[in-house]
Amino acid sequence: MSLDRSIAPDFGKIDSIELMEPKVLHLDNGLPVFTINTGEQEVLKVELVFATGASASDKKLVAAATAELLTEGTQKHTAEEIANALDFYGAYFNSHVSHDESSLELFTLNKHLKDTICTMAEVYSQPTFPEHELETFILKGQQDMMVNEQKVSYLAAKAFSGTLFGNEHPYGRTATQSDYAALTQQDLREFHASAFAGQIQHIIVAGKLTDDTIAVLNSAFGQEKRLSNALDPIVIHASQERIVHVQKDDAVQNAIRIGRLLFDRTHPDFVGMQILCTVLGGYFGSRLMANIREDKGYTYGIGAGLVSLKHIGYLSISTEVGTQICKPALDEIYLEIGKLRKELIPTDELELVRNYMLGTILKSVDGPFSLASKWKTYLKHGLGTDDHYQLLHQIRTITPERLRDLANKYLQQEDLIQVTSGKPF
Amino acid sequence: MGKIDFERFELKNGLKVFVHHDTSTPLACLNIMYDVGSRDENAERTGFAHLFEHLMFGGSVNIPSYDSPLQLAGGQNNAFTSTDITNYYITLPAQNLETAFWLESDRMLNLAFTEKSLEVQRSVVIEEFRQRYLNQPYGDAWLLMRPLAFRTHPYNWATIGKEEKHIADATMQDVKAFFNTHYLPKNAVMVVAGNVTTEVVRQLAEKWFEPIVKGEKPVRDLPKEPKQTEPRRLEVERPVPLDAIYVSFHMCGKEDADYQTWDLLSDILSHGDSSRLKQRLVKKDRIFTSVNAFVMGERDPSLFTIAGHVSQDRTVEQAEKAIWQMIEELRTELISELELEKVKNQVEASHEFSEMNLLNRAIGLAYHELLGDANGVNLETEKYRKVTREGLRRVASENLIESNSNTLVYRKQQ
Repeated sequence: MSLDRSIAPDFGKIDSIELMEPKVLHLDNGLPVFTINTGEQEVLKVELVFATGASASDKKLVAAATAELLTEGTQKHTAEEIANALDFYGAYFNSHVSHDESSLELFTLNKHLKDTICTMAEVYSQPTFPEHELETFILKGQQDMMVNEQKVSYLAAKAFSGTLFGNEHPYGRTATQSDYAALTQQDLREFHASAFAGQIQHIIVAGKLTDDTIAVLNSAFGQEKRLSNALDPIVIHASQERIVHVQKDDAVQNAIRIGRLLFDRTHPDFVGMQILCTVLGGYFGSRLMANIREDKGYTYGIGAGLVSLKHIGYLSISTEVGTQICKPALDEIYLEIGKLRKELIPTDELELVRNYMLGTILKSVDGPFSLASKWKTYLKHGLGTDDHYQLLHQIRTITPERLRDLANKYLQQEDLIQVTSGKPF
Repeated sequence: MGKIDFERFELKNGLKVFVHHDTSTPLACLNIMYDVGSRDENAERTGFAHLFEHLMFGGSVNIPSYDSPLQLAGGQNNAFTSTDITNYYITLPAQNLETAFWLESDRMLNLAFTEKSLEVQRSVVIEEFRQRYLNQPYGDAWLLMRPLAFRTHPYNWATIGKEEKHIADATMQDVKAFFNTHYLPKNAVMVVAGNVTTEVVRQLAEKWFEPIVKGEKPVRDLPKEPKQTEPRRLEVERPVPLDAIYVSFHMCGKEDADYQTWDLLSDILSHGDSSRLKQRLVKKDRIFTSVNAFVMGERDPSLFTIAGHVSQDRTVEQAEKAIWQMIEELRTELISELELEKVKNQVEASHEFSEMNLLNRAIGLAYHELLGDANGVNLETEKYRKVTREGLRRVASENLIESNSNTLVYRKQQ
């Protein structure tokens, strides 16, 4: 029997994607611990989540510097001793500061949890922010910034957030050389006291838990007094400018950012816009990729996506193209957006996007660390298992008409901000 | 520590197939690694293995679009090319595994070469060249270092190619010849990992891959790099904000008994915040804003490199002196037992973290099979455990010497 290779084999639809719920336990002081006990490897990730991010400080860079320098010296140990204590066990820290949230992660083999967790508890609660380490941070930050300023993608991203939110707004402001120079030990100590000390909102622990994992966490974090610092939602004062170009005369490519403010993840149009963005530029076969890369060869890559902050979100389309084809590339981007407003998405294309998105979600809940990051996001936005199933339902059932309506409501060209960086065009 | 279990079989046409079960995931990965990289290119036609990887997504003889049917089945895919290998992978719901077999077997069977697809991918790759190598500060470092360090071996050029022109000049004839020579069952290793059974994989492999014509595995006969006997140096001026320095030394290949020793030398210098370069040259002396040591991990004898951005208020000469001081210590002093234990523990932990990822496990098996034995992936950590303090000092003192050094300096334009 000969094989007909032109006929695709049958495939099944992804009918259900279970989202494993974390088990919630409480330490002696009431601190919630979300445990995701799964996976084959003998590893653990412990993440301390704090409800305060960069937007809570009226001085730029303070939050980032505080998080970064947590591990650079405590009352008991120098930065070098701390680094050695972790590296010896092959463990490491990651600190993150976003606009609305901060966190400290510990990655360790589970057999070394006891040896490394005490270092984590110490750096989180008793950092001293030594002068020498702060100075190194400042000098390094300033010089790294000089390198970044040679990149059109960096220049465009900076101008884009300034234009979206306003240059003075906590979400839109970006640091300058002098902001680095203005940092003091006092700033960091104050920020630590108001945002970190005693203010773990919850702990997420993922990996292969052992019998004593919780007891170990309890002795490290369950005895301290818990404080809480609620923050006010933020008011946006977006800039009036819509089209911005940042000049860089020696550029070989121009960077392009197009987008607009939208809404947070709990908005009723959020999932619809996420699907629409996927059609436009959210996967390899998307319309922007098909047109601008695969048909015209203008770029190595182009993408569109929604970014979710705690109280608001935005659309961002980004690419880098040869300087001489910047204008035609922009025209094609607007042409593709226009098509979404005018024409219905064909059912077979929509079917493909539905299945692709479900496949992506299936992958995003596979394995302990993926699940941990999914739940971190869900907890931040106040979402739960119901929202997960609601998302699956909407992906399966949304109609081309509804997507066209959303495009008309949110993707009018005059509402979109356009930032470019590179040569004039 | 975790061991990657697998079963293996070989099809009549010589394609080696490996199956790794993991029932904890609803997914499956299909990974095909071809034993071809930029080292197999003609020196006048570089960047070709990578350009070819792009063309592999342009549709095959019976399937006009590669991506759409896969996305329809909920799958994702990508590929990468290095100096040694070209690797293609698909991740999809395990129930739809056959879609992956259908797609991958058809493009091993024959591509649907079109002029349009070639023309577009030439432009895409040229934009990639610009985005990643030309439009970034220090982006051309390896375009400069490789020809400095390699005079005859094809590691002389980077995977992206020597220059844009080589990519622009690629013809349909080149493309077809490349496919016919390298994209053969005997020149590939396939690993299927995830929620799959060997019976099903065997059945699918026989159905979709076995009819593909066997072909002959190309013979590789690459020129050996002669021993370097004099230090080499290249200084360039660029519109960069900080001076930078790269020092590369010739080292052994991936399969050599000293490979792990070399790799640990780089870890001693720069793995983690406690490492020597971070503590001494970045934090204490502030000579560099960042500095790293690394090996390329290439199969043939390759490079060990120390590279960093020089602080504004320091000179290239001070930076260079500091690097050689660190090297001198490795050459003359035995490192402590504690420091050796630390870097070995780091290797063990990195290995365990990396293997959480199903695709990494599949790639690890495929790569080690190309090296001669898929099970090698399970023996790696043990090889690192055997490295000694004396071995580290020996390798450093024999090789980290001036006559074996290639120094690239970026000076900021005044």
